[in-house]
Amino acid sequence: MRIASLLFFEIAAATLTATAYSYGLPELAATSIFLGVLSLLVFFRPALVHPALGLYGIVAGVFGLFHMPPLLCAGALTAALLGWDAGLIAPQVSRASAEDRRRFALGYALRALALAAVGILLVAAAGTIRISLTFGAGLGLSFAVLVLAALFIRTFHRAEPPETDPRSDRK
Amino acid sequence: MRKPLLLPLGIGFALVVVGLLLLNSSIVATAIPLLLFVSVRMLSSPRPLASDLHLERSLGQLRATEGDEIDVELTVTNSGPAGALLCVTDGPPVGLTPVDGRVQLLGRLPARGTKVISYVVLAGRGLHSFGEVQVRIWSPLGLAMHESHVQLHTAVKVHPRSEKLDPITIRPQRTRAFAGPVKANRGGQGLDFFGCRAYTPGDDVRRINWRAYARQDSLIINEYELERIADVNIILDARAKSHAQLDGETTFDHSVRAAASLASHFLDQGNNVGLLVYGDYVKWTFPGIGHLQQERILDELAEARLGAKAVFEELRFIPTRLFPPRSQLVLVSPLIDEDDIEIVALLVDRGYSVLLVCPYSLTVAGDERRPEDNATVDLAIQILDLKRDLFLGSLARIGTSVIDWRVDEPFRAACQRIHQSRVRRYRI
Repeated sequence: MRIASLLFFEIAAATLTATAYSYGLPELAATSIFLGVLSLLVFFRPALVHPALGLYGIVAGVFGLFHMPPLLCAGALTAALLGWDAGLIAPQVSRASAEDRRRFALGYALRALALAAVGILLVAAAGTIRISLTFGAGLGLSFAVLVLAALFIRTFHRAEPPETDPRSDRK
Repeated sequence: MRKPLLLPLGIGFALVVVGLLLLNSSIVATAIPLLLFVSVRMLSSPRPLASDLHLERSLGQLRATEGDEIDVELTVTNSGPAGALLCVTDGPPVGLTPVDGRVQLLGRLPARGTKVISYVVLAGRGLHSFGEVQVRIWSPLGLAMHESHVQLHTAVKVHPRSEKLDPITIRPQRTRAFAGPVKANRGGQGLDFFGCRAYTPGDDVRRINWRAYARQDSLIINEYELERIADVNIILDARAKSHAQLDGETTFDHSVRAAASLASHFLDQGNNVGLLVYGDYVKWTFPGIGHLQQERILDELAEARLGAKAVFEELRFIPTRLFPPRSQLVLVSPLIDEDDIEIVALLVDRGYSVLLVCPYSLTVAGDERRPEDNATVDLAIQILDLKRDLFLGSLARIGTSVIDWRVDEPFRAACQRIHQSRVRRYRI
């Protein structure tokens, strides 16, 4: 899983670098390369996945600021997100046998890529809709985001684990 | 589950807010995968599956001896109608080191299916309690994960390793009324010649010494030394200051093994054996005989721990009232403190016969301050040996039998050596 995590982070860095180069922004490309090198640390220190995801979020935001194609930015950020998630799971399954871990990592990668594809397709669809962010549309979107945030907070509060833990039969 | 999601959720909302503030749709679109990820995680909950899992742990043995390998099996059964992708982690307690197998099960458990985690642990001394089992279940899509901890207590008691010892001669001043292996220093029925006395009516005529009769013209009979069981109380010094750290172990671990060997030995001979652990607290095992008493003592030794309480800093506070007067005491202690000799002398003065077991090790080899010069090291070892000889000599002079045990050799060998040296060196 640590290898999967590193792989996803590197895919994110490569995507950002390629995007920046193709749009003639070598400074951003260099930043992305630096981010890719920094991501190598994740392999050795799994705890660094959190700052890594944060950095990728900031860099993706900066790319958006320079009006880069949102599809590529979202794709890169999705890859980083999967790298972050795989990095979180890695220490939890580290004591299983190598074969089990390999099978699990493969299944995880396939499922994650499927979700990533759905996410990127959504971004592509949003791009084709071409909503113009006027004052009215922005206000509406802000309101929608607020409602969404409230819903999330409510769900978080409800997400306390119920008393349905596995039962134990002591021998 | 909730906390890790806050990061992508926070980044997603931050991108949306920044995008809206700057009226930049690219930034807003970038946030979509993050928010989608969090949404899917929140909505796909694997929790209903958790109640369908049954866990059962079984151990190869609930009582073991230090160094034994114990088989552990954890059976996971899914009684639900759907399969589950799960990760079950069993946590062997500190002191039981996994040496073979896997403590974690990772994979898909089909409906009504069973999987077994089996592994082998190396038993270290102590009372070990297996605690909770960690269960992580992923949602059918494998995105959301629910973690729970199942309390599954199983205890295993690991006794210290003991050695079979050759006979150790003890001579307490007082013995008990029942026949046993200890010389009672009194004439009567026995095997070893004790002395002669005048015949009294009722004496066994087969014990008449006819040669003495021929010389003295009065009936003289032979007496043999009575052999009885004795009260033997083992005092285990568990003061932290007395013991030294060796490679991965302490001299205390060796002391515990020596105490176990001695207790088993004296109990096998039929003696009345008690145990006092003196260190963190005074733990007293009332004297008794037989296998049950042996189990009691080994149980206590299994749980014995070093202590550093000021009140037990000196041996002076050993509660001697617990021990029968003029009985045999076996003190297992490295005795690094010169003042301890005084305490041992006090015990001897009170009429106790004291057998001292001194485990020690020269830790120069593992010391970081070890000088490079081998000659210096050899000289240091010689000085330490001489100092120790003087120390033990002073103990012998006050009437104590000493087993000087260098812990890198078997305890049995040290016991054999003391019988010879006791006559040659330490005889009072």
